[in-house]
Amino acid sequence: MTGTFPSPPEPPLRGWRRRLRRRPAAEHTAGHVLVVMLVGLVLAALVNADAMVERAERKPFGPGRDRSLAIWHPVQDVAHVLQLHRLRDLGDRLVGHTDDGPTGEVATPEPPVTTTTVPPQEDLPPQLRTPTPAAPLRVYIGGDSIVRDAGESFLRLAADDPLLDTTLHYEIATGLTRPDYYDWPAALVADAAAQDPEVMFLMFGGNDAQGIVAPDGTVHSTVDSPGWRAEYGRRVELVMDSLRDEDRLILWVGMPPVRSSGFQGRVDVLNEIYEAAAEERPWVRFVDLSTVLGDEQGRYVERKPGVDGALRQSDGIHLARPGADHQARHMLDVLHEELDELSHAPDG
Amino acid sequence: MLFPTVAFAVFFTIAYTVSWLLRPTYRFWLWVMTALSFVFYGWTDARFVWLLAGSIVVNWGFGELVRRALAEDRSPTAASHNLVRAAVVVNLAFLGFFKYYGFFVDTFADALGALGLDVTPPLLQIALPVGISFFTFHALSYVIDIGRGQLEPMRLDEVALYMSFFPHLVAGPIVRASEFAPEMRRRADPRSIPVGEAFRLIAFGLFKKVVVSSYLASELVDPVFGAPGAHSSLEVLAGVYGYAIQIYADFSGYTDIAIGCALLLGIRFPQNFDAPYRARTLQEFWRRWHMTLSRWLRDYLYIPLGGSRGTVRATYRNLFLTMVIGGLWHGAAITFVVWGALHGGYLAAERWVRERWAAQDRPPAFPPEATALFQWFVTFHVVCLGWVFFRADSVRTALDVLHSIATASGPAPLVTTGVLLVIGLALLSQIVPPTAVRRWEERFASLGLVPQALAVAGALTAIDVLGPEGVAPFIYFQF
Repeated sequence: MTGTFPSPPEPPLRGWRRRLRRRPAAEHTAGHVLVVMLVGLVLAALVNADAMVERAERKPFGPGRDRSLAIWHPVQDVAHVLQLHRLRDLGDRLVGHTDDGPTGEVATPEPPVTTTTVPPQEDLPPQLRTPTPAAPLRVYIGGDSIVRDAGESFLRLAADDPLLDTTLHYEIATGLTRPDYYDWPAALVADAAAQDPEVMFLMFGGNDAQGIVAPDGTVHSTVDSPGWRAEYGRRVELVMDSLRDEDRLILWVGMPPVRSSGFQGRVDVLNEIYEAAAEERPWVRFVDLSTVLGDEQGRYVERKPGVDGALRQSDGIHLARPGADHQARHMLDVLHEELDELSHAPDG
Repeated sequence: MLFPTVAFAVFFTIAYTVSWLLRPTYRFWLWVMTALSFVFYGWTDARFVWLLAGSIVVNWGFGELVRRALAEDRSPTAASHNLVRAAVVVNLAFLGFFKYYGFFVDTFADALGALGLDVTPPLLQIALPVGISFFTFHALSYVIDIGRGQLEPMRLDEVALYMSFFPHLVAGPIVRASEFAPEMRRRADPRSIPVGEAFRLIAFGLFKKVVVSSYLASELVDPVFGAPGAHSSLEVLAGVYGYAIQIYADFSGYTDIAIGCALLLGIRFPQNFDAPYRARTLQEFWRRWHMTLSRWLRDYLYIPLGGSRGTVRATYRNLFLTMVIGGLWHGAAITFVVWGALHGGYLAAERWVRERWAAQDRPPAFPPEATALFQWFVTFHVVCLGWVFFRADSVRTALDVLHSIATASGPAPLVTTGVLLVIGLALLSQIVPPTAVRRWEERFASLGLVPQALAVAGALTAIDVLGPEGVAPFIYFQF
């Protein structure tokens, strides 16, 4: 006993008061939770509708994208009427997201944007200087997730070479068909202006076999259709031309063989386009990986004699580390061959 | 289906509503929840739905046969032993085929290559079914527990829900049938949902996965482990610490969401993480990290191997073997074997030191706080050393990482204030007292309906704003 009087008994509670009292404060009914979930999710959908529309627009052209847009556009309309999208804008500004956000319109992918003017030059191969430890050759590697693996291996192999100064820029799930998702042509021009690379390894294609929008707004869905080939080829050529410099060599790395026969057919189309565009430009070389990562006939293989381990990841597209190392060694060999052919002693 | 997606939010809202509406009719509830779980499993890849269904039927059958083979007092017999062994073999054969075929073929080819024989073996292209390790563990625990007389067989529809229940289906936690059955069978009270605890688990789980894990992966860990030779010591060291936080945020985030979702459905799962980076010994680490896996390995591997019942040497051997097999369970690669061996070896060494220390009965030479700090420091770095092998794509890459930490000087542009802040705050989160967490839950639960809904919407928006584009698959999906 503490010496205090016991509390008088509480009057019995009835009805909803009794039910409420019996329930601990930390617990609620299933109906209450359902309403909290529904209201919370609907509010979140409205506040984030712009971001959802943006994500839907970035999906590959097709029924999935159409369905997503059909769902999110009306939500976006309601959000704009209620001005709830401003909360998301505020959040983006607070964390420093530089993107001004979508306009609320369905963004039609624009053709690649270039910001440099290429001066007319004679169709001569570029001249590379002979690198020295004091002034190593500036090498740039850019592309999608496939080049990430080979690029990292290249960085590792080249780390001890004082004659090479390499940078790697990869963006996962990107390519040249969807500049609305990631504008590689603009990014490459910006990178070239900032870093002035003397050799650029570029590798695309892993995500490019999807619908593409021509400047007139026509959607070309099939990779081997003339319209698709023409538009994709135009973009590839535009990239090659926009990066042209008399002291710069572009090494365009083709797609390696892939396991899926259907995808391999599309990869063949891509490689044809790259090779044809490179052949017409003396400042561009096409680096063919078909026999480097495939067999002697250029067919997909998991392993190769002389390579210690599996070449590819389980998806049959991306490179496992031994395969990435193998590709990187080939890229280094190609680089040295080109240097032997094109380089000249520094002036003076 | 991934948890941090709009599709899952819609799916869960439907599942939640259907579940509480059907809960009074137990069998119908079982069938519908099983069907929904199969929809969840087959959402992105329907190829392996048959595998899950087959595993359910086969293991239910084994359970029935084992029960009939037990003695009347439910003690094991030779026949029940043999049936349990057969169930283990069948389950491991499926797991081995899907998960380890390529590993063994590659290892065989590499061994021949070392002898100067270049061979290109025929490799079947086998996709790994998501969650196969987890539902195999659930299945094994079900049959073995019946064989031990610790569990009565469940009906087929109960086994189906136990093995396929969507919150724990693809990445745990690993719930024993003896824990799940009473939760499933009891008439959950729709008037008493622990809303504070459930929403806290889901919100923090999403934050850990979408924000913390993804940020560290893209800003620090992936570049460092991709090309360790191209980064300075400081960057590589930060990359290793970053991975320790990334994998914790990723995996504990997933299981937090799973536990929170199950709670909303009236099912309580066991805790799976308990601030593992505050551990002062590796043994304590394993009591706090992936607790349901540690328990599974202890009950179904370490103890059957002999546990600590034999000689001291046998105990060390059992510890070591358990961790090596646990490592191999995580992935079909030598790096995981090294990771397991490192943990097993250190656990054995730690036990040896502790026993010698206790035998000497000497007064401590240092203040307890200093000793505790030293023990924490050593344990954390042993765990980080293990993570180097766990994350690296080959032993060579792991050694490159360690070599770079020791030798690579230079600037560290990847070690930004943001990265350091995230790593530091994640480590500090390990010492948040449980009472503070409970107070937060009670405060949320005490809010009215509208403030709670606003808090849910605000949390989802904040996570989406802070998170990167797209959601990477959970690391533990591959195991």
